[in-house]
Parts: sequence; C-alpha cells; structure tokens
Amino acid sequence: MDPSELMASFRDLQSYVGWNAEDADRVAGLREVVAPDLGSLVDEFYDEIPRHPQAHRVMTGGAEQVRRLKLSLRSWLDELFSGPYDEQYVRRRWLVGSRHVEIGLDPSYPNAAFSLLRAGLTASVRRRWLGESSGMWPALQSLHKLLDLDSMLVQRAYGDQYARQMQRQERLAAIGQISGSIAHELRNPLNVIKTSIYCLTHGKSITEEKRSEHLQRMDRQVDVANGVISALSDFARLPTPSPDSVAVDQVVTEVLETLTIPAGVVVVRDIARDLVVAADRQQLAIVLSNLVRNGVEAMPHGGKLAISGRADAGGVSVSVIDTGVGIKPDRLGRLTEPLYTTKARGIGLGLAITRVIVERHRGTIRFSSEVDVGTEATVWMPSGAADAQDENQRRTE
Amino acid sequence: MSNGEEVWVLVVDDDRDAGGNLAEILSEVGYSVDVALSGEQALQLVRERVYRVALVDLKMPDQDGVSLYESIKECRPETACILTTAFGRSARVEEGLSAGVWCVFAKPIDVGRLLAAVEHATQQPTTLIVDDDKDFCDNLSQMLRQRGYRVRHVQDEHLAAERIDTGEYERLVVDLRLKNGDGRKLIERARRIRPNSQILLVTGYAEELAEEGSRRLLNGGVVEIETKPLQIERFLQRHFPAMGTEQP
Repeated sequence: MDPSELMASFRDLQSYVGWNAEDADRVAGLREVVAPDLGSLVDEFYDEIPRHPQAHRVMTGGAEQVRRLKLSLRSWLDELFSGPYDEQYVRRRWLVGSRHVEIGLDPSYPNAAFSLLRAGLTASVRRRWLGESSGMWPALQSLHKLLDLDSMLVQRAYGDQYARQMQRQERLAAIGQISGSIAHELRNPLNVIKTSIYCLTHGKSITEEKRSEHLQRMDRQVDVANGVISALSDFARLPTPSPDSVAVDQVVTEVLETLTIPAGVVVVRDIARDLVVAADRQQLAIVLSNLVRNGVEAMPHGGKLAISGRADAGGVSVSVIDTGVGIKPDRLGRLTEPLYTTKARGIGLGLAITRVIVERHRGTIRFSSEVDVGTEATVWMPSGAADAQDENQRRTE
Repeated sequence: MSNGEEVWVLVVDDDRDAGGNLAEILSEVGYSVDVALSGEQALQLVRERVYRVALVDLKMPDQDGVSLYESIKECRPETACILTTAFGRSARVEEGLSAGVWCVFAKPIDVGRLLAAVEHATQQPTTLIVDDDKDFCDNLSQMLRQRGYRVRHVQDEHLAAERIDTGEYERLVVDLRLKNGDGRKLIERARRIRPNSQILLVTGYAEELAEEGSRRLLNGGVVEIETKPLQIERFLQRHFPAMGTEQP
C-alpha cells in the first residue's frame, strides 16, 4: 500500500462526504462529552464478541489479547476525536483493517463493529450533551461522517488485502501450471535422448547407420528442448516493437522458408506485393509463423492453407485459413491464454505471445472455427506505428 | 525371454523418436514389436494381433493413454498395458491404475526397470474366466489384474469354446453351470486343446459334483474345485497369489 496514494483517496472521500474543518472542530468538541463513557464502551464492545462464534473464532490469544485489543480500541477512539486526520491517521486505520483480514475475520464483522460503536457513541452524546440541543445534531452528523470515513478505510484495507491474496494465489497457480508443462515438455525429449543412449551403449551390433540415426534423434530432441526454453524466454522478455515499413508478402515468404511444410499441405497465397504495414519485422514474423504453424499442425492428414492479406479499415488484415480439425467453440475463447493448449505437445505460449505482439502494435486478433472444417485466424494491424504508450515510455526512459 | 514362441509387444507413442527407440530396445532383447503413432492406429493393430504387453504414452493428440487402454481392454482384456508419462503421478494415472493399467513408468524411462517389468508382464499366465454372471467376472478380473494376472472373461459357452480353441490362455476358471451351456463340456474341450493348462472349477451347486459327468471330470485329477459363494480372500491366496505388476 502506498501511503500517499491512500491519503489522496482519503482526501477524495472527505470531499465526497463534505468533511471540512468545521466538522473536525465539532468532533473535537465532543471529546470531553463522551470521555467518561469511553472506558465502558470499550468493555462492552469486547463483551459482545464471545456471543458471536464467527467473530470470536479469530480471538485466539485469551485474556492477554483482549487486554491489548482494548488498549488499541481505546487509542483508536481517542484519536477519532483528537485527530489530526493526517497521513499517520489514515495509515493506522488502514493497518487496523488489514490486520483484521490477516486474522481471517469476515468483512461483515468490522461493519457490525462500526454499527455498535456508532450506537454507543451516539447514545453517550445524547445522554451527556449539556449545550443547546440545536448544536447536538450537527455535532453528531460530523461524528457520523468521520465514522463513515473510518469505515471506508477499513473496507479499503479489506479490498487491498483481498486483491493481494488473490494475486498471490494466482501467481502460485501460474507457477504450478508452468512448471508442470515445462516438466512435461522437457521430459519427452529427455526420454528420447536417454533411450537413444541406452540403445547406443547396450545394442549388440550398432551399425554406422544406426549410430547416426540415434545421433540425429538426440540432436532433434535437443532442439525440441531448446525450443521450449526459447519460447519461455521470448515470452519473458519480449522487446518493445521497433516499427518499420514492412512488406507483408516478403515476411510471409521468409516465414514459409523457415518452416517445414509437410508434403500433404498446399499453401495458397493471396497478398498484394505492395501491401505494407508499420510493424516490427521480427515480431510480425513470430506472429505469422505461429499462425502458419498452428494451421499446418491442425492438418495432420494434409489440406489447404490459405494466407491472404489486404488493406482494411485504416490498417492491414492478414488471414491464415486451414482446412484442418477445427476447434470446439468452448476452446476458441481460450486460445490466446498463456499455458492453454489443445495439443499433446507444446506449452501453450505460441498464441499468447502472438496476441501480446499484436496488441503492442495496437492491433487485434480474431479466430473463427468449425470442427472438422477448419480454422481462420485474422490479424489486423493499423497502418500507423506501434503502441503509442510504448512510444511514450521510451521517450521518458 | 521364454521358449521359441514369438512374444508381441505394442508401443504407442505419437513421437516417432520415442516410439522408435523403445521398439529398438525391445526387439534387441527378442520381442516382436509394432509401433503405433496414434490411438487409432493402435486399435487397428490390436484387432489384428494379440499383444502380451502394450506400452502406451499417456498424452497423445487423438486420445489419452487411459482411454486408449479402456478401448484395448474391450478388445483384448488380457493385454497388459504399461503407461508411460512425462507428467508425474496424476489423477488420470490413478484412474488408469484403478481401471486395470498394469503399471506406470515416468519419462525419462529407466530402461532396465522397464525391460524387467515387460518381461515380468509377458510371463504372467493369462487366465480365462467363463461364468454367466458378468458382475462376478468383472470383479474377479479386476482383483486378478491388480494381483498381476492377465485376465479375459466370457459369459456364454459358445464364445468360451471359441476362446478355448485359440489356446491363448494358461489358466481357466469355469462355472460348472452356465445359463446356456455346460461348463463340463468346456473343461473337456480345454483338456484336449491345451492339456497342460490349469483348470479351476467354480460351482454354486456342490451337489452337482456328485453327478456322473462331474465325477468323470474330477477323476481326471487335475481340476481344482471351489464352491460359491467364494471366500474371496482364501480363494485368491490359494489360487492366485499376488505376483505384483513389476519384478520385485
């Protein structure tokens, strides 16, 4: 939690409820009025808790804990009337709130506690007010405003802590997921290498041909393992795009040259030679090669892969259409999620990285598919340069 | 490896290199090996040939290893299926084991241990259960598989006779009285086809044993008898001591 940010939002809440210096003065004036009741208010507050098992459950420290809690409630009440309502004040309130999250108190209980304190303080003011009764109502109103502000700080602490807990859990889940899929993707090539070594060392008659076949296998599988690691590190540190005027047709040619297209797959291209997009050339190549590779892998028995490009709505659209196995509708929306894969091999980073790249170019990516008919992936990128935000970032760096 | 008979092993892995290596290792020690690159291909092969053991990868594009095992089991319940997996021990693996998967090997595979497990599995006798009570068959099959026996069961006399004629079993468990058939005929048939097979007779009607036909069978001397309801613990201990699914 950033204290100055917290203070800023507290100020905003103050102005929202119309809290001002007059309110502070009125509340300060109530200090003497309620002072004789504060002790019994604190006692009653802690007498109430054992009657509520859900709230009492978190009190595990016995009499000593209750004694400490009473002291801290007392100083909380003192500070409520005395102020100053500064950064320290706000921070302490927030900490009280987050302490209650840590011990696992359901958020409805702090609300109930506020209600109880509010009732006790109101009763005390009404009983002991000595001045003009016309002055009592504005004073009580100011007190209520302040209690509302305090309550908001506690709620804010709950929100912050909850978000942090969720983040922690998500991060742990992601680590679990990623290590599981890395383990799988690395153990497969390791398995081939290990069994090849076994063949080479235990085989009775290893011909030169056999030897070279095993060496090729091992070499291939080292590439597979390396590919897994490259995909991860690409993802971890994808550079900011440095856009350039790129001829789409030329990038497609390069991509097709680097990939092995199986004999059963026919590639059909329909891209104007002069179609140009402002993009990071290398990153555009990653995008296209991921789409082409997915298309090819979706057609294990061969088929047609159509790559088309055209000028479209102030940008350029490139579609890759396969006649492959297709993707079920419930899976379509998850394709670009990191670590999501429908394949037996692969960690599920290809389309996730593709989407990150497209978005950094302020573009969009869409998929449509029909099972056993095929899949169409369409990337649109604006003619104008890459992510403006990234541009700004670079300038300020 | 035993005698001169060809022992077939099926390797199923969508990675050509992985499957090729296992095939080479297994052929080197004398097995006859087929490799399937997909579940579909595996099922085709299984329909054509009886494999003593199938080595199945858990994760393949067309179906997972456990569901492939289920399909193999329908067609060849006596084939021992060993799962290989690059994941650790997962919930899916546990499901496979309780469905009757023989044992599981984590990748990278310890080849020495795998060879021992394959050899052990190929040597376990195949038991043919003939009983018209399918639930009894299923329960007994599952218990026997867990104890390291390869099992197949049939419910009627006609199918049982066909099975017996293939000679693809070493042990026979037969119910004396079948809904549409007579267990005694099957036993006589089995004696002719495979004189050295072990035959275990199960009956719910002890009095039948006194009948003329039964006595003749028993006088042959090689048949052991158990009466239903079976005392399962004792039955298993006496006739099917736990072999384990891996060499100790």
